[in-house]
Amino acid sequence: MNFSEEKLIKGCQKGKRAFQQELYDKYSKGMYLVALRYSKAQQEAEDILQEAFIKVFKNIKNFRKDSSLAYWIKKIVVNTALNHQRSKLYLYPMVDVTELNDWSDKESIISSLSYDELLELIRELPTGCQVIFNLFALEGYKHHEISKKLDISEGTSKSQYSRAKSLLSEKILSRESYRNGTGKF
Amino acid sequence: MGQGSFEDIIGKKFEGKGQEVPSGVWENVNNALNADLVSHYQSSHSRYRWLTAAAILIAISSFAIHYVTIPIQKKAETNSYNALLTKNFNSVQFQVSDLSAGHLTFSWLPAIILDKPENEPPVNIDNVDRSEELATIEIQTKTAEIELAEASNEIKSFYRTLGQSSRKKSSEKNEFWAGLEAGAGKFNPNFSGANSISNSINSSAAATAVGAGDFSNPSANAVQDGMNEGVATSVGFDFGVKIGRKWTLESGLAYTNLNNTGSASVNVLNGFSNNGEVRTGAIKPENPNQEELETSARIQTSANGEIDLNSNIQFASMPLKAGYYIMDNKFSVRLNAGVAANYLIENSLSDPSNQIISGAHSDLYNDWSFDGIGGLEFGYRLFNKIDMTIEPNYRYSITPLSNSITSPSRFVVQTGFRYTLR
Repeated sequence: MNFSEEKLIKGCQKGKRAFQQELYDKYSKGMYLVALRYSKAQQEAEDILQEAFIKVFKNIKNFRKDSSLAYWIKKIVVNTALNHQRSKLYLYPMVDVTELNDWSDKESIISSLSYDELLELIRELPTGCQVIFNLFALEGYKHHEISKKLDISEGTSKSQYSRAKSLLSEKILSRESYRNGTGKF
Repeated sequence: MGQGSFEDIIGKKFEGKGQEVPSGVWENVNNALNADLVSHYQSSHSRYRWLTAAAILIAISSFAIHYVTIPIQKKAETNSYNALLTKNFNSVQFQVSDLSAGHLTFSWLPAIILDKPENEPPVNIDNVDRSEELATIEIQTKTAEIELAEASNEIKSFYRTLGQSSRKKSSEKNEFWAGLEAGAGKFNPNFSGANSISNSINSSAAATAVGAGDFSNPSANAVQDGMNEGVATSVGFDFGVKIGRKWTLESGLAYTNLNNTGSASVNVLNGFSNNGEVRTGAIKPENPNQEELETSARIQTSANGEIDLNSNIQFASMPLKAGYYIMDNKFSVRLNAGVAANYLIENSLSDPSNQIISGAHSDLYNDWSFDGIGGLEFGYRLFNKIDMTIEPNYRYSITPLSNSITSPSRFVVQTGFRYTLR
């Protein structure tokens, strides 16, 4: 079955299982990647994805079509992931840090990485940095928006993002050194 | 390298990418959705039972109230108008059988009173029995006060609708439906007042219907103790829209015909008449020089007759109802409330030969009247696209149909079938 988005939405709004499965098959892979970016373990990502799609099917009747369906689903996945990580954010409070970032010589290195290598590096970040990095760099939120979402100051959001970039830089360099056999210990 | 460049690079890395999802995730989602459905039906099952019990109780109570405790007042055993006549007239009554006509019977009114000029010499009248007295019949009429029956109208209608979209999926928005309806029922026709009907009877037509005179005495017409219970039929169409998950708005147009029979006593006055035992005579004086005197009496006779009446009222009804789905599945319950505007098309009183006795449609009834409607509709999905519905509803007269007396409120039970187009 290959339905248009319009029919897919209507079918899901009517609660027809075939349409729901079709929608799941169409968007689950991309959304699973989103869930993986926000989680540490695969099981955690599966839980996020499962919970997110249940919310999608329950709330699709409220879908206003003022944005694309993919964007709307992604928002639900991100919010579900944030809910999962929220408790951990409180366990590891984020504070302002001062980091120096110079990515001028790392652009080519980043470009050489595959997306799953980059994914792995992102998942290795501390929880707070991982969340803020995803929200700013990949979801496109501004720092003041992130601060409201996570109930932190804008300064904390900026500093945590800088820290994320620094840590990524270290990991990328370390990986590159290892590849080239020039890693320093 | 600026930050924008870094985010661009990162973003492009993940653009359009995905990861294979373990199969167990969809199974868990599927199970969760099924569990949600089951819990929904389980929680509403007890509601079904309570609502069903409440609906049955309401229906039984309503029928009990309207058929047992508030019975429709039957026709009086005695004809109060005729009773008045017998009270007010003392003279001998006699029948003139040769003046009967068909189902109509006539009884001449008695009361013969001598009316003779004073000091008039006795006269000899050829072929006249001078011992007989000529008289002017004095007719007293009264319009009978007829006690109106307590009004309680029941209209049972069946309607068949074609073309209604499914109500099963309450999540659909802006569903439209349209349908055709037809109905039949009973009603109590005495809401307008027998007195008013009497006054509306056309004199000449009534006289012709009686068949015994030139005109009728309007003040003497009296509808017999109220009209018989009649038959109401309606046909029309309805259409509606579903707003959101649970709200509906419905309207339509229905043509309604109220038809019932009854009878009326009609008092007919004749003009100069030499019929029957009314005579005039010429008086010849014994002295030829005297003027011939002729005594004549202006006689007015009257007859009291009964005519059958057929009352017909036609109006167009336009309801506007808002509905709220309490339940919307295979078994549905919807709460409806609204108003109906009724426009009088025509009303008439006629005799069995279809001669119009009263055709002035505005005399008794208002052109426009309004009812408030409140009801509870129960529906059951028989087949995929066919629903059976039953709706007891209460109609309160905001402005009356009759302009002589307030129309009463009435309880209505409607049943029917609906066909879903899509």
